[in-house]
Amino acid sequence: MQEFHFPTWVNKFTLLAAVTAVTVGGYLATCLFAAIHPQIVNVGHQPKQPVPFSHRLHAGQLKMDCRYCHNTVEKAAHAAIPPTATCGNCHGGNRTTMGARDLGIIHPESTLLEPIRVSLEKDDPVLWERVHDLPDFVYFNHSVHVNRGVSCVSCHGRIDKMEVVTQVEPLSMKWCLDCHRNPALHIRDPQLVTQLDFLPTDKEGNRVEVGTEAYAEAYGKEWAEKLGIKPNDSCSTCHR
Amino acid sequence: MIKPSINQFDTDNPELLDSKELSDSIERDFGTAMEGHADGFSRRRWLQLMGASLALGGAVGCRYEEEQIAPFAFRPQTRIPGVPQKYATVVELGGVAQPLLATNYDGRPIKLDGNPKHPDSNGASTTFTQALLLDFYCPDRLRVGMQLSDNRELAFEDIISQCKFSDYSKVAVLAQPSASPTMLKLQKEFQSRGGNWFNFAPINEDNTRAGSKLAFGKVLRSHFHFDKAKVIVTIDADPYGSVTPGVLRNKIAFAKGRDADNGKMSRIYTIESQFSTTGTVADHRLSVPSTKIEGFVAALAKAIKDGVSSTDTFRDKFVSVLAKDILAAKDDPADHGLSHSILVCGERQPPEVHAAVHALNEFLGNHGKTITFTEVHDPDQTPCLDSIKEFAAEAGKMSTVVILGGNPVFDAPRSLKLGKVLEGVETTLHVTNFKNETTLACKYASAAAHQLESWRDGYSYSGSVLVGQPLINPLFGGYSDTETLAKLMGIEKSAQEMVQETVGLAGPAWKAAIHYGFEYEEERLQDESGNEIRKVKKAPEVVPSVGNVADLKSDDGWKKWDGESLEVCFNPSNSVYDGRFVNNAWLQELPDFFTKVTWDNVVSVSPKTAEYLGVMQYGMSAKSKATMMSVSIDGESVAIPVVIQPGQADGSIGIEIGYGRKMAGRVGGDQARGVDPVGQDVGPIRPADNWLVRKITKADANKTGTLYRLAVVQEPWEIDSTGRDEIQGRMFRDYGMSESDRSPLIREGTFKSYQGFLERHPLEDGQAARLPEAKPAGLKPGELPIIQPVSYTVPDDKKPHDEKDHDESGHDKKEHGGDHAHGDEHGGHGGHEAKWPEAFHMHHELFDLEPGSRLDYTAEKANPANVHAWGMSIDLSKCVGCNACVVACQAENNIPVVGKDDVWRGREMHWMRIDRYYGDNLYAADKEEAEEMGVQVAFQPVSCHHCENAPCETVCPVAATVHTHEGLNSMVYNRCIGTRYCGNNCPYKVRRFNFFNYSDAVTLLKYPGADKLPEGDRQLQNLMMNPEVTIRSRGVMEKCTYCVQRIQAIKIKAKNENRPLRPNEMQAACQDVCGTNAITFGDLNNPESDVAKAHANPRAYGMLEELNNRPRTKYLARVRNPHPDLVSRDDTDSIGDHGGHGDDHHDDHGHEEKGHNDHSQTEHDDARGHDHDNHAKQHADDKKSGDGHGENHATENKSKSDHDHGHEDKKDH
Repeated sequence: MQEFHFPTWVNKFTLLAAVTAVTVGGYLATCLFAAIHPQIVNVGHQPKQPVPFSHRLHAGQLKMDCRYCHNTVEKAAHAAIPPTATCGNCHGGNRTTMGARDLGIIHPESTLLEPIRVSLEKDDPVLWERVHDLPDFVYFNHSVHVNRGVSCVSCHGRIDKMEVVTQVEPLSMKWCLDCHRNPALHIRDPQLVTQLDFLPTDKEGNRVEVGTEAYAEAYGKEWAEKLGIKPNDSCSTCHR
Repeated sequence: MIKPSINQFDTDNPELLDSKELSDSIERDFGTAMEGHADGFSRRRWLQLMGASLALGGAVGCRYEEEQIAPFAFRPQTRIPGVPQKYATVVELGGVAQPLLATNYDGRPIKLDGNPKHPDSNGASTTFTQALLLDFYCPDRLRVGMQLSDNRELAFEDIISQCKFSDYSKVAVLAQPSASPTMLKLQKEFQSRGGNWFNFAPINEDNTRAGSKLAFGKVLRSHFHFDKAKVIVTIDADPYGSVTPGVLRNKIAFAKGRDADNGKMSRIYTIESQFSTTGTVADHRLSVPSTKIEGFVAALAKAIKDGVSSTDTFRDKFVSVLAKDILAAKDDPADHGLSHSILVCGERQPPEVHAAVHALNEFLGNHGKTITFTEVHDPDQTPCLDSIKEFAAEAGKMSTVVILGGNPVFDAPRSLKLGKVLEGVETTLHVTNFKNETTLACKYASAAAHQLESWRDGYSYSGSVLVGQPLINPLFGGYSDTETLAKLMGIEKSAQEMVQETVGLAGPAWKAAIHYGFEYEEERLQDESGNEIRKVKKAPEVVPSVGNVADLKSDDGWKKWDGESLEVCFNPSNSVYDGRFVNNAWLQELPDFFTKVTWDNVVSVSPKTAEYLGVMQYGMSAKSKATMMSVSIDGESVAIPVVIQPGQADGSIGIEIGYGRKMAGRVGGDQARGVDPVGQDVGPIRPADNWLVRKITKADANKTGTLYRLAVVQEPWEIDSTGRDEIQGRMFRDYGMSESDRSPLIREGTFKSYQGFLERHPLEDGQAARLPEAKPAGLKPGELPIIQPVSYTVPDDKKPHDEKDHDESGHDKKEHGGDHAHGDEHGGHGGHEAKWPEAFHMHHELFDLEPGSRLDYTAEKANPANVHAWGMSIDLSKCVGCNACVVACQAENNIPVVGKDDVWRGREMHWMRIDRYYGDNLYAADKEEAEEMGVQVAFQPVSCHHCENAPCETVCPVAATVHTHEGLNSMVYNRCIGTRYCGNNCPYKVRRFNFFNYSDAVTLLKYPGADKLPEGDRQLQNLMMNPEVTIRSRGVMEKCTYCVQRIQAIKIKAKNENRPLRPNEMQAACQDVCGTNAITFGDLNNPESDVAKAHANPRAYGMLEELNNRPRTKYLARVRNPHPDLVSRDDTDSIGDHGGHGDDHHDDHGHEEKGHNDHSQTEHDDARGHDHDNHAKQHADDKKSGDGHGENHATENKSKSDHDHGHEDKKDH
């Protein structure tokens, strides 16, 4: 029997097949890489909360300081979600009283606030959805950042403009290191850390955005110097 | 030539070549490809699971899992989530209350430490205290009330009503001797109502108390001030052993009295049958069987009172020198605050010996000077052994018997048949934390609230009253022992009310007592940093006088073993105490401080006794297998594996008690569940009389012929005699390996030699090692500044000297690799150029393979971010090898337990290990004399050395272990892929690999059906974990991190407060727990820190420093203080120059002196920028001529004056 041979014109397909394989493989790899990139995966995370708490209203319009609720941010690693009692101070209705006087008189009957009142009544926690979630092998400490002049806005964005809190930064290791290696882009007077709309002016009197070189030149470097900011970029700073 | 004697007894044995033995040991040493874990988790199954979870992972999507946050509805005041809080509290062990400071994390205790404000602890604690935490979170704890007959759960109230006392004459309570004043009050009340009270604990002070009664007419507690005595004689006693009540006080005082840097040094003589912790640190040790010690004390008394005649044998000489030393201490004026002596008698000795020792102490004027006394809180307590016998006789007549805690059915002499006795009683109730053998013999059981869950009070060892608050609500409900008893008696008071009533305080004073954890004096004091402190209210001292004490029978049996008399000593276990901690996996896996055996009890015999009895240890690797030996007493016999222990008294057989529990739990043994007991139960052979020591004959001790596999953590890796000799050659002193300049692992010398050295090279300010004072205090009030600019740099005048010189000289760092930049050999700052012991100190050429590759962590230029350079020092003079640091590290760093099988395979996970070395006495003239003097022992705690030139880092393919700017060798778990190259390349063998998912509770518990454990039970142990430390998973390397979580925490604290770190603010967990302050940790760049001072001490050396690793952990050479008349060889200048042994072993003194001179000169040259090569060349020449030179030197310098001349030479240089 005569052996079968591929005709020679098939040869050009061999090359084509190889090129296709590499291209498709590369494409898929790029897709996968892009798909799991923190910028894609994390940014924009916006879970639904049990109570539609509006930061835009509280922090933006009412100009409540961040630390009224997140009051452990200067002392601890966690910027603790406030206990329900904090909400109750204004919204608890007759569950928050001083003597005979009800304190929580703002929207005491609102149905949206029902979980708050139930929590106060039963002494059970309200289960909030975590928005900014770091991997468990990362040890991040809020206090040391806030006390050393890193504003909330640098990591959390303009919370005071958010109706529903959304993650705006990737919170990836590269993103952390960018700042640790060039802190002047984000350092400010520690007194002003909760002032989310703070924009310093440069020599010409123009407002400069936080996180830009212009900011560092106009304002950040001076404060980094003043506070002696020399962030550590060793592994054990965050991984223990 | 003196060859060290260790382990020679188990080699060169034809049986070793027996193929089974060999193949076993090869399998163990090199391993075989394992299909699955010993406990059944096959590789295939794992792959299946992995496949499944990958598929699931794909389905879930790429977003992290969603997490919920559950804040308090009402957060308690002062509570900050995630910030640990510390509370003073109390736990009781062995009838002594211990002052504690517990760390609570989000409301749950995660670490127990000593209370730094109480002098009984100074912040230190013991292995048992550390491991109590694991007991607390143990899923095996009894959770409910039970009716045992039909295994029915009962409510606590029902049990109380079932067992309520009515006719007190028919009610008996069996409790352990308690230190709680509240319990004592309840006992009085109970007895006044006609009740029958019995007390029993297997580890008690019966003999000590009886001896005191015999001598003084009443029971008193002796307090030994080891920091004031010049001569300390321990007679079968172990004042520094973990099991001893009051051990921390003793250890603190021990370290204060052994301050060689300041010329203060007590001398410790130990006479004992078994190696004790104290024996290991003694300057002279005589092994005498416990039954023969009476004769020794008689001889000593005679020598002290009448003077000595005979000095024929070494032992005669020993007694005469000891007597002379004691008398000299009595008459001589105080030297550095040391005068007089202390004679301590141990519990194994009968009351008569105790009384005789009390009389001797009085004769020597020690009472009131070095020994003080206080009243005991329970003078009328019947001795435990008598009380339990009474109980066994009386219980049958009772209608109700309540047993408060303990496990008397297992612990008491078995001939009393307590189990049977209890069965005959109508109502029996056991109030306990764990279901044990006694619970099974009772009709009802009630879960007791754990010590950490209840209000407590108690007398500390020094007699002060401690107050303890609960750290958490009872996890499983239940009442404490006092509450239960009160309820049974119809007293409706909570434990808090009772404790407050007993303490008798109210309002702010009560609150302050809870805050401090003890009753305090009225006087308000301030510590150095301005914090208010209160002094502990002390118990009043009494000054007793010794009445008529009968002379002891003189008997020369102690002088030499007659070759046939045998005795058995029953010893408390240093791991599981009396057996109560058998279910505690931390303590089970903790190597015995001396035998280094885990997960087993052993019978220890001396090599000679072993030969006599025909028992052996087998295995190419030492101790991997042992013969079983059966010991018979009164017709009962028990088989136990043998460990041959140099230093044990010939004819004395030591047996550890407490193991072999059949009803302990899923770790320690639970027959009902099919979990085999751990170790052998020796209870059956313990006689009801003389139950600590018992004479036997050869017929009672037999080799059984079976082999037993022991999991020993030291010496398992000596594959052949070469390996063994290599280690041997590095112990104490390099006798055999003359050609090398390798440094011994352990360096030591005599106090005399050190004093001579210090005269020539006085210590500069702050180079002395730290003494165990209270741990550094907290923040000064008012020190909290508001935000103000602070730069974290060292002021110029505080910079290390040589660094400054360095910079000025314009010295090119690249060429020299920063060799001298921060005193690799001189400590952190202006350290001693000279080193002690001189004979041991070699100059090693340090270099960088790639010049400039190694960061100079102390130079600010290279290290802009930080000025800290973390380092550790371990003072071998102070380490007693007690293991507390090992458990503390385990508790702090979430270190898993691997179980006996995996320890046997060498997979233990402890980040810190304590190496124990035996060796011949260094100061003996020859082999025979060395044998007479007995072996010497040294301990060496080893954890990651954080080498600046770390060998592990260069071999990691994924950069999972890297250096930080502060000099930490950090381990990045999430990068590690588990190649284990780093572990291979580590010369200290301190890296540990997670062969399995050890942290998983299922693996941890290791019992059949553990995977069916309810989820809640598995998570129970997660509550115990330190949230600041990552829990490592399978396939990841780990090792000591220098407690990086603590470093970060204090750095963050300081930054938040805008201040630089205080010198000794950072405390590592192993340092925290150390009673003798052998371990110091801190910032080498801060000259004020203890660790910088320790590194500058002339005794400091790095382990294996010739490898050019530049370890950040340094050891301080051990100082021994032998009596000059009892040493034949003097190391005043260099061991080996005297006594005609010069050619037996290499004398490197000459070489050393020369090398040293070269070194200092070269440094000098360096500063002027001379060529470095000269130095290297000169040094190499020096090495070459080493041998011949040494010999010449030995002949030239026969006398001491020649040596002095040698030193003058040096000065001329």
